[in-house]
Amino acid sequence: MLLYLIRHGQAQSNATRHYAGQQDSPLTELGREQALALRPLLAGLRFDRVYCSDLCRAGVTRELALPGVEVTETPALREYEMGSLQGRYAPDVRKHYDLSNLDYSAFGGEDRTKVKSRLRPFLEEVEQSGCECVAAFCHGGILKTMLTLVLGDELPLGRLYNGNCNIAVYEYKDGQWSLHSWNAGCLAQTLPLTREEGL
Amino acid sequence: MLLFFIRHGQTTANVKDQLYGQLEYPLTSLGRQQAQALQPLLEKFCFDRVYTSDLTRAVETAKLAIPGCAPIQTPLVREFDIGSIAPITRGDFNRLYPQVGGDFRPFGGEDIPAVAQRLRSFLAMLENDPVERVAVFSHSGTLKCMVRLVLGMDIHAARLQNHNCNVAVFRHTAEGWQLAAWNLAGQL
Repeated sequence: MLLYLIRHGQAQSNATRHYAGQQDSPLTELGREQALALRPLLAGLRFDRVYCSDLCRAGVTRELALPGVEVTETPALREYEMGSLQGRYAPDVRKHYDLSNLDYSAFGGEDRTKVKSRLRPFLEEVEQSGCECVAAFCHGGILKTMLTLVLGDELPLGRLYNGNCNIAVYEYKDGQWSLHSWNAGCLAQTLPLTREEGL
Repeated sequence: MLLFFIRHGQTTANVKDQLYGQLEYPLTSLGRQQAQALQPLLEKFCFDRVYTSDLTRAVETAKLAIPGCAPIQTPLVREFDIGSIAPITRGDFNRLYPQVGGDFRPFGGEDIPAVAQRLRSFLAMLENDPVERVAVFSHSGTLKCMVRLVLGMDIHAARLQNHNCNVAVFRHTAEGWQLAAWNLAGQL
């Protein structure tokens, strides 16, 4: 079984370099372009199920990238709750804090343990679904967390590029997950690499 | 700079699931197809430089994947030299030499630090060449060593798929190298 985790297109918060967390932020023009650029890549695939974070930047990305499908919205796929960081300018925050390990608990937000605990039931549902091909439109923090679940907690997340409309493909076989592809999305379309925000 | 690090297409030894180090084995017809299938993806990137391991399977993959290029051949990105045990099926290797890890020195071959050192020399050469996009055609062991260098950790082979004609992308920034993409051409 293949699971396609797809990060939303560039949101305004990404462009202005503010933390959004679970606050919503609409896609920019570039973000919409990135989402549309996914359409021919995804059109050839037959997804048995399509999930989507219930935040609108993921939902709009899905509408543009994979229109006309039945979708299951779930808060399990939401970005990290980032507490008092939400709305703050990332470069200023980064002068004082290293958030590459995804721990927002000091700001009243979630840490990796919390997010893993909401991801696990989602993954179990996918594992037991009997599906062959599943898509999940979500967020950078979810993509990175899934990567650590599969490759190991000590993975240095600061050494990974995680662009908007990143498509990460995971294979579930014989009870085990492995990474099949990373960033097989926008980069394949040679759109400009967007700056990483907040993560 | 974006560095596209590409594993060669299927060889006759890959078909037998053999470890063969720096021994020369040709591409199969599937291997040639895999290399040709990279053309539409790679032609979008207009590489400033194309390098290849000087082992024939990599050179052939380069010429099929980027027709008309004259790749710069370098031994720096050759596969691990696994010494006198080559060729050996993976099954026999796991059974006879379970303790080897990445250290083939007992067989007159290389260990991980040796491959990492020549990779570092290759990267240093690139870092001194102010171009934007580079492709290098190489091998699975070398690519895994590159991942190890960039991420500073070993990834278990069962967790990270590394197929023939895997296109991995590394990005060089002021803070050093990042893993930007893995298997860019796969399954989409």
